[in-house]
Amino acid sequence: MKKSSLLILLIAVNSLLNAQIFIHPYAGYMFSSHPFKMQSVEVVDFVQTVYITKLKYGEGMNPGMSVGYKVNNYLSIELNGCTHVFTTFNNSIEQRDLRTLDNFSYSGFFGDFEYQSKIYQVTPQLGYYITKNKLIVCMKIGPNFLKSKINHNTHYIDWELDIGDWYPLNTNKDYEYSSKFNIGIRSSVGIDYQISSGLSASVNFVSVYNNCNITRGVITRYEIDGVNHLYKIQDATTDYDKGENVVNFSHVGFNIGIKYIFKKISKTTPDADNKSNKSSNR
Amino acid sequence: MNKIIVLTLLFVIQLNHCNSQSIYLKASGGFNIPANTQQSPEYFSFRLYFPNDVMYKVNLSNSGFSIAEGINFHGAVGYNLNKLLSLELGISYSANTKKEFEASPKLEYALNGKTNWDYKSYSLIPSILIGQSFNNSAISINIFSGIGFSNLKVKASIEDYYNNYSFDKAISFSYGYGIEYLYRLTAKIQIYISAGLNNMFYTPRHAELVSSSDPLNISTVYQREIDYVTEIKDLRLGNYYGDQQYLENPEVRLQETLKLNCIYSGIGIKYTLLKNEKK
Repeated sequence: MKKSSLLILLIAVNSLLNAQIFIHPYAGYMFSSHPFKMQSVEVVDFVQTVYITKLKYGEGMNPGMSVGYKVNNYLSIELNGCTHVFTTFNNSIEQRDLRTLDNFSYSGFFGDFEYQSKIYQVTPQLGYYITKNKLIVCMKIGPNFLKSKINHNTHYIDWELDIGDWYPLNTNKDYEYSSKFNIGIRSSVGIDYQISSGLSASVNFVSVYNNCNITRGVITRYEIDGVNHLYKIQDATTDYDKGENVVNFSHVGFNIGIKYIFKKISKTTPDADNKSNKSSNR
Repeated sequence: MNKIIVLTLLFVIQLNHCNSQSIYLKASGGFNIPANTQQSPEYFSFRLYFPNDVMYKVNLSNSGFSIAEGINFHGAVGYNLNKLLSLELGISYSANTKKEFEASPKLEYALNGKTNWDYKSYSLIPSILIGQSFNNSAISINIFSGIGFSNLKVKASIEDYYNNYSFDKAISFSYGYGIEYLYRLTAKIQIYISAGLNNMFYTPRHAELVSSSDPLNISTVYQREIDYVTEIKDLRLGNYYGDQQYLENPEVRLQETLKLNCIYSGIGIKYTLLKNEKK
């Protein structure tokens, strides 16, 4: 068993050495191209103010790696995988003390809003290359498979009206949303600079177009004035049908990376070796 | 203005003195398909008014909205800097073909209507092409950005009731990249196919109700016109129902950008201007 595994490993290593296989670790920052804008409207004494909260899903630092195979000098096929880190953002919209107001209306969210959106992406890509000396311009495109997990942590004052008086309820409510893999498009255009025969540095402008159907939402925390009230919620878990809760994770940004191309070992005949030796002797 | 004319003339004279095969003309037509969808922008509220001050707001929201699907026409003049690089200045026209969107998801206890979007965009597109040739064919990577203006008309309707809005010609921006495959037919003529990604952005600043099934709807400026602003802060509203001073000003709403992300494809012809070779 061990022998056969070793044999398979050797064959795999051998084929790896004979192919123009490359690895391309990279990192960069992506900006949400379709942030979700949440409006919170305050009207006090017939004066209106609208507060905007941008939920920048898909924004964050973007480390990843792709493994590819260069078919020839112009074409490559590769498998790209990446995630997003540092995706926690905070927003805060202050609400006035309703006890001091006479004529008012509020709609939308007022309070502290922290959200985090982790995403995982896998993309098989086709690349096209144009080479000029040490510079290689490339364009890549492929279907993007994206899976997400979103956390919303909210802290707000829930006002309770009791016999004509307002009572503030200091509330914390957290939500967790998850999805399955959703298909979109990933493409990039960039430049590689060849440092040596097998090593190059790359800069890529990346565009990802991907909506994500949220499949499940769970209320994970519900506290009023520090007391747990989660057990009072009958349906803490909500399952969503396709199209019912869609989040746009589209993003654009730049990635910087290093590409290492495994050297192709050409199989030469003894004659060819002799000829090359002779020519070198001359 | 004069400076622009002089610069243009100098550019044309310069082009005339360029190497013979450096200048070319291109024309293409094609189709766009959406790369992405967005929540439909809420540029206005569609309300139905009935006697005795009864009013219903119609749900028009669509979560899978995109008007990027449509046709495109492109014409360009280009200049080969060398075998690798070319510069182009193009004019592009695009219009949506998917126009109608029903409210989706439908709300259970509301009136669900539909909207009809008519969008046209005209852009000036400078681009840079990086290419390589193989015998009779060539492949180029095309990177571009554009500026132009767009026309938008939106009709909201439910059964026989409708409101028809016309939006201002606001400046629109675009950027994208793609790939072109060219095949040489003769020394001067090449045909090509192109495909890539294009992102267009249009943010209207003003809209007007141009027609309505309900004459009541066009009785005041507030009901006829909408101004879109970047921020609403301390906006004075009407103090009471029917406040004439308030109703004689346009409605104020927050700006929303229409984002058209599309995969474009096209087929075209390239004509290279040949001149006598310099000896």
